[in-house]
Amino acid sequence: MAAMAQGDRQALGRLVALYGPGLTRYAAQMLDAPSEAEDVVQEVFLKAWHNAGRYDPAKAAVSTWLYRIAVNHCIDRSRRTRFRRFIGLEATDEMSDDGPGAAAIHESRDRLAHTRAAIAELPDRQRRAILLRAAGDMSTAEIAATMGVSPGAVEQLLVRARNTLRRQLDPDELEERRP
Amino acid sequence: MEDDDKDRAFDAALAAALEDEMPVETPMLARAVLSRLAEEETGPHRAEGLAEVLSHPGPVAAGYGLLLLGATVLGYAALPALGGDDLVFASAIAQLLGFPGGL
Repeated sequence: MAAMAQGDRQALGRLVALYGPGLTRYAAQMLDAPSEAEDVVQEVFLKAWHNAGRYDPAKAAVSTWLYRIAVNHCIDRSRRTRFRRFIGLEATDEMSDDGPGAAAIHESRDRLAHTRAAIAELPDRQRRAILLRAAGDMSTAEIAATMGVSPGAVEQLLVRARNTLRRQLDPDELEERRP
Repeated sequence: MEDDDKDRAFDAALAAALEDEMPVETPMLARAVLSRLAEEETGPHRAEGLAEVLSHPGPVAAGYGLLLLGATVLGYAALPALGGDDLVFASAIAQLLGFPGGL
């Protein structure tokens, strides 16, 4: 972060390499339009770049700081998207058909869509907590710092989110993805 | 302890599912961020909001029209409730705004 504050673009590149994938996956699940995830993540890194000088390592870990920016960006973007859809400036996001070969990936896509739908149905705070764990690979303490709640509250949110997802998803569905 | 293991396994499986759904090409992402940064620093600042309104004026114009209609209806509806000095004041304001009808 110190290097970024001094204008080192390679440091920004390293930050993107470290946190970009997790942030993108988090944003893709939190946004109404997953196609906007990369755009939001780019904005997160640009904001981090512009505010690198203000980052205080004593207050928060880099991951916590970045995910906090992402959480707020996703909330803002979702509100804006809903408003734009409401006034007709934006069409509803639809999954495109991939044409040739689409049948072959239908089963896999259905499974992903099912997982996505189950996550989307979680209450907002539970969804945020479980995604920070799964996409951001964050500890309970880091999630608590990112969400601004106590670690105990995060544990509760995670337990409830897991229980709901376990009920809704076929156990084999997730089991076979286990690394 | 067993529950912790189960939870860890569940989180890992979920993480893998998210990875399947959204494979991220980090070099592309880094390039996109750096390009946007360069664009911000060198390119002209675009008025995106204005551009959006200019390219899709319909919805915004309709919203403005509705707002105007609402204000007019409200004004006419409120007129009978006014009397005396209030009526003179409302009339003056209406004439100033170019809506003398009904007074």
